Order: sequence, then structure tokens, then C-alpha cells
Amino acid sequence: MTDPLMTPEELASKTRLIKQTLEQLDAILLGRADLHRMVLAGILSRGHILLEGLPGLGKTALIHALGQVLQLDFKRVQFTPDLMPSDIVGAHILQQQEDGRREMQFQPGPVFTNILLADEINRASPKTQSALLETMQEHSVTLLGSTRALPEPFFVLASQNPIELEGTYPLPEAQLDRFLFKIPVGAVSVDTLQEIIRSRRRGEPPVPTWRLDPEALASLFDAMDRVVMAPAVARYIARLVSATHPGNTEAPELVAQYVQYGVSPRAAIGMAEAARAWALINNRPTVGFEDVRTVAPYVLNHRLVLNYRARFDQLGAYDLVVQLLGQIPETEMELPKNVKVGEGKA
Amino acid sequence: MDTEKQIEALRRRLVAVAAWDHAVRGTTVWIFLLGAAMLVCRLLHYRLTPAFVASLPLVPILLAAAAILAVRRSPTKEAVAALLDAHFTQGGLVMASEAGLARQWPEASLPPMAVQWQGRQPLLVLLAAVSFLLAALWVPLERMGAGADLPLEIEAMVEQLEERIDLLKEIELIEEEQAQEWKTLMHALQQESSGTDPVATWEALDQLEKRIEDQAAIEVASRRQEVQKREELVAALKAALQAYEENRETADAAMKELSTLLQKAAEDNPNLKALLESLAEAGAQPLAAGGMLDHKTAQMLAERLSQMTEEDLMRMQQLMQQGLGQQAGSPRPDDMESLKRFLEENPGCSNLVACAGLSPSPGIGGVSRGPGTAPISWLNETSEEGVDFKEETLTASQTDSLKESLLVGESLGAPEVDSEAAGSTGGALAGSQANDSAAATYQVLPRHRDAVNRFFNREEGN
Repeated sequence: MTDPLMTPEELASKTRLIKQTLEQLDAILLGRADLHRMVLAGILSRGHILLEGLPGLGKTALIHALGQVLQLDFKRVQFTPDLMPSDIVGAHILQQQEDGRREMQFQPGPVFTNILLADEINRASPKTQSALLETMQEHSVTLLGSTRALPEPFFVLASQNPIELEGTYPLPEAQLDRFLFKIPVGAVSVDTLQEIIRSRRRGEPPVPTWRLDPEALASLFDAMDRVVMAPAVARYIARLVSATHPGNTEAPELVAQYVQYGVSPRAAIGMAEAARAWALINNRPTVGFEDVRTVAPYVLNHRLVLNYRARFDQLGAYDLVVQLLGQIPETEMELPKNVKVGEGKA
Repeated sequence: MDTEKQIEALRRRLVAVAAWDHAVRGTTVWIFLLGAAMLVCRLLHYRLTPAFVASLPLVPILLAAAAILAVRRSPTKEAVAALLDAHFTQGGLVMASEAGLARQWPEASLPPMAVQWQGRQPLLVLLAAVSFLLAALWVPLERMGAGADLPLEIEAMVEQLEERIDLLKEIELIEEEQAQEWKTLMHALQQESSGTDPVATWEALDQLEKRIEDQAAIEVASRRQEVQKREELVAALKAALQAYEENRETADAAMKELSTLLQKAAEDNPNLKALLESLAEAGAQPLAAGGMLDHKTAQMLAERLSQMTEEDLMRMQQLMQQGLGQQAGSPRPDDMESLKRFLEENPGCSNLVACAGLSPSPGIGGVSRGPGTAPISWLNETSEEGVDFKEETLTASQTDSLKESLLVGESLGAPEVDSEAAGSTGGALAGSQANDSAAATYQVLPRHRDAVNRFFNREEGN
């Protein structure tokens, strides 16, 4: 915590860009302001996002709009059970040259883009899903011994349907861990529905009126590096992650009862990054405890492996993380049992 | 307020309240311990004031320790800044300000933060501790009977000893001065006895009781010998009187011999001398002037001697009913009823001492003439009651004890045998006496001797 903070002026320019981006997204997809902010936080954190919700809630439209607003290359892959890895990462195809020679040429797959929409990702086989592991973690594709880098920035925005699970393949933990967020997409309110009915005839979203140019996006990424996280906040994240492991001393009874496996250090890294992005979105140069509390459920919920008791008690990972946040104090200050700190006169 | 100042102010308040909390808790523990110490002091009859004064310097030490503990455990500025930041959801700006990174940012205007001490439970515990201390100081332990300095309850024992002393005095076994001395000593013991130290009083009473019993045992043994001699004399007198009827010449010789013996015995025995003088005053022929014992005098003498024997026996019975004189080998008081029945069933018993079992050497004239009244029983262990003094080789430790002992007098009473005294304390011979190696250590009881004698005579006959 030695680097100087961004000045208010510097931060204001970044905030303006973020605000405009969110305004565009809010205008395209009505009634999803919180979702837009969390998705933008994931983009600023350079993380991959898994959207989970019923069909027709606007998951694909959101991702499509994001690609438009951010002026990033966008490709969509509809995951099906017969989808092959080569359908995603590309394949070598025998091509005849002008001189008549024939040679194998690499035909890039849809993964060579900035934003890859993996629609209904859980319908592809594990073999095909595993083709995304290298791309998501290392932003590269290795095929027949040669590694090809993906364009930067690279995001995988996947969607999956929580129902109709017949013929689906649950995502392996290794791949789930590579998603920064898993965001549940719920139904919208009546007012929002009324507005959608009024303004969206035939369901066509409006074209964005403003777009974020690549330099501006790069400046936002630079600003992310200047958001300061205090050691106490980093410690809080570390304690949270440690508390998800049932065997650790920090773990509360809740975790010991319902959690089978805790989250990885990658989750701690992702949470810190997401908290920085959330602070930036909220016009702050520093990360606060509330930023961590906000992003923690989306970072942790898909990484926790719950046991059968949680299923018996119908306790979801998201709710468990919310409860866990209520049980882990932000600071480790050891005050005597009878000493309490609160607002008011001393 | 400046964030930096607010952090420092909150930190100081936290330290102060924590110090107060530690002080209350420490004081509570201290008061509990002090109360326990006071309670122990009162039970052990130590003076409370020095203990209380000695504990007073602990008060400032306790308060200083509480303050030091609170300061050592005081939160860092970073921790306090994090607390403020988290409490007021400042998004890390307070922590950045504390670290000096947010100079270009406006100071956050935070409301004051209160540090509260929720002291209901600690105060209740403190109140309980104070109550305990007060109870430890003022609860009347004496009335509760714990450690009270009340005199020892020995009245029953004193009364019993007084009865014994009175009896000894009444039957003229001890002098008036001796009785008074013992009573004075006993009352002094009763006055000085303390419930807190009962051992000394009990030991003193035991010693006094032992002295009384020893004195009684000596006297009983002495009386018993005298009674035996008297009975032998009565038997001789009766034999002489019977011979007087049959053969006067022989009787005269016997009377003459008896007269000589009586004169000699009277020189050593003042009681006999006084008896003879009283007979002379009653009209009998005086022996002191060298006269011979005549028929009338012998008859009077035999009657008086028998009367004296009965009186002595009655006194001895009284003693034994009081539990005295048993060390002289006498039967127990509870045996007297059976003795009485025995005498009623055997009216012809000529030797009362022997018949009553009071004689330490039953049987006259050898082992074959013992009473032989007790049946030999093979069921229970035979009581060694009535066994003569048995020689024993003393062990080294017993010999040392004997050398270190002080001779206070000679007694005819039976020696007290300490059955718990062991010859050796360890090894294969633990618990054995020096003469355990003898083939047979049992002695034949007097009442069994006749039967034993018959047994061996039968073998010889065969």
C-alpha cells in the first residue's frame, strides 16, 4: 500500500467511461443494472463469466451488447453434445497452394476472438469443454505442438440452463474454477417487463449509441492496476477463502457442516481483482471491505463443493457464502469480550 | 475531526476500556482468592490482619498489570483504521488516509465512534466476589462448628475417671492426696482442652487413665497375693482345728508351729499384726506375748481371716466392674456373672480365689491338680487368658527401648505385651519374634493341664 492513489480527476475520467458503458448496457437490456455492473466488473478484472439462468432472460443479448459497446470481436458457439474441440479451437485442414502443393493449414476456430459466447456450455461433452481450459487460463491454443496466442483481451462468457439437465454434462471443477464469476440471472420485475413490452417490439434490442474505444478500455485496465487494496482487506479476503475449507481453524460451523471442499487460491486472486473492479465502478481508488462482500458470493459460489447435507437442507452455495460473510468479521482486532464498538458518543 | 486524530482517539478509548475490563476481571479474581485466603486463615486461627495487609500491595500491582496488558494488546493504528473503514463502509479510504496515501482526497467526515463496556456480567461476578469476601470475613464459623476454639467434650471420660478414682480411694487403694492430685490434674485438662487440638488432651487423659489402671493393677495384684496367703492360713487353721478334735497332742504341736509362723508373719505384715492385736482385745489369747494359739483364738482368727478375704474379694470385684485391675490377670467384669453362677452351682468350692479364677496360678501342687473345668474345644482358638508370664527374648529394637526406659517402680502386675511390636521390619522374618523358631510356642492353659497330663500318662502306661 505504498503506491499513491489515483487523483480524483484521474478517477473521474475513468468513472465517466464506466458510467457511459453501463448506461449503454442498461439501455440495451432493461432492468439488469446490477447484472451489468457485475459483468463489467468481471470484464475489468479480465475474468471469464458464467451466466446461469432460464432461457429468454437476456443472457445472450447481454453478451452480444457487451461486445458491441466495447467494440470487441465477438463470436458465438452454440454448445451441443456433438460439438468437437476442433469446432472451438480450430483445426488443420489440407489446402492446395497456388503452386499446386498441398499442405496442412491451421483454420482458427471461433475461440480466436475477444469475446467468446459459449451458449449452453454444459451441453457439450467433457472433451469439448476441456478444450477451453487452456484458452481460458493461458489465453492460447496449442494444436499439433504449436501454440497460438489468442487476441487480447479475451473473455469467455458462457451461459447455462439450470433446468433441462437431461443430456447435459456438468462442468468439471477445473473449468468452473476458471470462471471468475458465476452470476445467476433471475426474472425481472413487472415494471421492467412492461417497459420491455412497450419498447422492444419483435424483441430486437436497440443499437448502442456510444461505444468504448479500445484505448479507453485499455485505460480502464490501467486504472485497475492503480486501485489500492489495503493489507487489512487482503487479509479479509485470505480469511474468507481460508474459512471455506472445513478443516481450517477459521472455518465456522456452517462450513464444517455443509462444505466438502473449499475454494482455491485462484478464487482469492479473482476476488481481489473483482473487488478492485467493483471499487473502480463505484468511483473509488481503494478497495473496501464492502467491495469484497459484494463480489464474494459471485466469486465463491461455483467453486464451493457442498456435501450431501447441504442438498438435504436445500442450502445453495450462494446462500452459504452470504451466511459465511456474516460470520467472518472484517477485522481481526482482538477486543475483550465485553468491549463493543459502535456509533455514538464515547 | 481529522481521520488521523479520530483513529488515535478511538485507539486510546479502546485501550482505556480494555484496561478497565482487565482491572475488573483481575480484581474479581483477586477478591475471590483473598476471600479464600481469609477463610483458610480463620479456619487455621491465623490472624487476619497481617494477611489482609500483606495483600494490599497487590492492588496497585493488579491495576498496573491490567494497564500493561491492555497497552500490550492495544490494536494498531492500521487495525483501528480498518475498524473505522469497515464500520462506516468507507471503501478503504480511511485505511489509505492512515497510510498517508490519500492526501489528494478530501478527509472523510466520520461520526464519533463509541467504545462501550458491557459490564453487567463482570460487575455481577465482582459483586459475588465481594460478597464472598465479606462472608469469609464475618460468617461466624464458631457457631457453625468449623474450627471453633471450644473446649473438648470430655466430660463423660472425666466422670468415668472420677468414679474410678473415688472407688480407689473408697477401698483405700490410694491415699486422699493422690486422689485429689489426679482430680486436679483432670480438671485442669478439662479446662485447657481445645477443639482445635484434641490430640494433646486425649493423650493426657489416656496417660492419666493408664496411671490409674496401673495403680489399680498393682494394688489388685498385691491384694490377690495377700488373699492367697490368707486363704492358705485359713486352710491351715481349719486343718489344725480339725486335728484338734481328733488328736490333741498332734494339734498342740500344730498350734504351736502355727503360732510361731503367725508371729513371724505378723512381723512382716502389719495387717496381720493389727488383726492379732484386735483379737487379743476381743478376749483371745495374745500371741505377741509368746502364748500358743488356742482353739478359740484359732477359730476367731479363721473367721476373721475369711471375713477379710470376702471383703477383699468384694473390693476386687468392684474394681473389676470399673474395668480396673484387669492387667493383673483377673477375669473381665462381664465374667463376674458367670462366676457368680459358678459359685452357686459349686457350693463346696473350698478355695474361693481358685474357684473364681482369680488366681494366676491355678491348681495346687502340680499340673495334675488344676481345676480342669474348662472343656477342651477344637473349634475356636483358645484364649490365652490366665496364661502365666511367658519368657520372651527381646529383639534388638525392644532391647534398645528397654535400655532407654526409665524405672519408675516395680509392679506385681502382669507386663503389658505390645502385640504390634515386631522383631524385624522387613525381609522374610518380618513380623516374627526372636523365639519364633521354637517348635512350640503355645503354653498349656491351666484348665487344660489335667487333660494333657492324663494324655501323657496314658501313653506311658501303654
